[in-house]
Formats: sequence, C-alpha cells, structure tokens
Amino acid sequence: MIALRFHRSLYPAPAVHAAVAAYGELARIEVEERDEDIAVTLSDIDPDFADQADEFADSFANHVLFEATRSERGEA
Amino acid sequence: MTAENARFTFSIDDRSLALLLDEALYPLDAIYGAAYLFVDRCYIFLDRPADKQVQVRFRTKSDSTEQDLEALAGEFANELLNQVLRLRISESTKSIREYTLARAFFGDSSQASIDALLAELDAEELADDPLEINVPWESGT
Repeated sequence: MIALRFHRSLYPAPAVHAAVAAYGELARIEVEERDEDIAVTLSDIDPDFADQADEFADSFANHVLFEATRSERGEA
Repeated sequence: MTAENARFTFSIDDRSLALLLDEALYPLDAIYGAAYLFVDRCYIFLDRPADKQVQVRFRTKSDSTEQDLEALAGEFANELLNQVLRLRISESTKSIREYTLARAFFGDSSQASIDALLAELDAEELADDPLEINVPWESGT
C-alpha cells in the first residue's frame, strides 16, 4: 500500500480525480479529500506492475501533475 | 548534498533531487510549465512545506550520478527563468493581443480602407474624361 498526499493549493481536486479515473483499472485507489490536501492510497496494484509499485505511484503523481498543468492553463 | 544560493535551494540523494522555490520569485504557473517539461525524464512531485514556498521533488527514471542530478537542477532553474520570462511577456503583451484579435473578429477596418480609397478616387478631377480614365501623359503637369 502506498500513500500519497497532494496539497490542494498545488493540485486541484479534479486533477486528482482525473488521474484516479485513468489508473482506476490498474489498482485499488482510495481518495480522501481533507482541508489542506487530498490523500490517495494505492493498493492491490495490477500484478504486471506490482514489483514496480514505487514507479507506479510516481507515474500516478506525474499524471496528476499533467492534469493540474492542463487545468492551470485552462485546457482541462 | 545540499546547495543553497540566495533563494534557490536543492538537495540530492539517490536518484532524487529536491528544490525549494520561493513563489514570490517563481509563480506557480512557471513552476508547472517548467516541471511539465521534465516528466519524460523524471517523476515529479510538488509539495508546499510553508506558505509561499513550493518544493519540487524529482526522481529520475533511470540511474543518475550526482553530477547528472546537479545538471538537472541547473537545467530546471534555467527552464524556470524561461517560463517566468514567457509569462511576463505574455502579460505585458496581453492588451495588444486582445486588441488585435478584437479588430480581426469585430472590426471593419478593411472595409473602411476600401471605402476611403473609393472616396479618394471619386474626389479626383476626372470630369473631362467621360470614361473617367486618367491618362497621365496628357495631364501635362
């Protein structure tokens, strides 16, 4: 299980949800929206990626960044 | 390893690099823009350790030496400046772009120019010629 924390002032909630939608079939993803941040927990990662769980989590974070950048530029 | 130069701080450890940026110097838009250009080579994570501060953490996708990571920090710093400059130019030329677009979409300047040229032609003294064709070699002056 890997826990990530996305600060709300840096990552808008829709960016996190878009990444969850993109990665949803590859892992069990729980999202908890808190005052300051959005907590994401990744578990039951697809066996194809299970031995690279850190890379999987980092890729997820990159996807959130991509969505946040699009959102910041008004492209989302 | 940790390096600090005025308000640009970074630290390096195994395959990862962390930079601490002052948002007063580097707007969030510029940080997003610069970070996005590195997602093909690195995993990037943003955090806010304090108000008006942004920490950018990089983890390279392939093995890297300390020199590689230092070079990455420098490259990112340069790209940040590039993005800040782009933002400033974009802001300072915003009104010009809006004006040009507004004229292109809503102005009738081209029609006005044509009307002005036609009016100028009409105003010319060509009454002597029934066809109103100017013959320059006969005008004499």
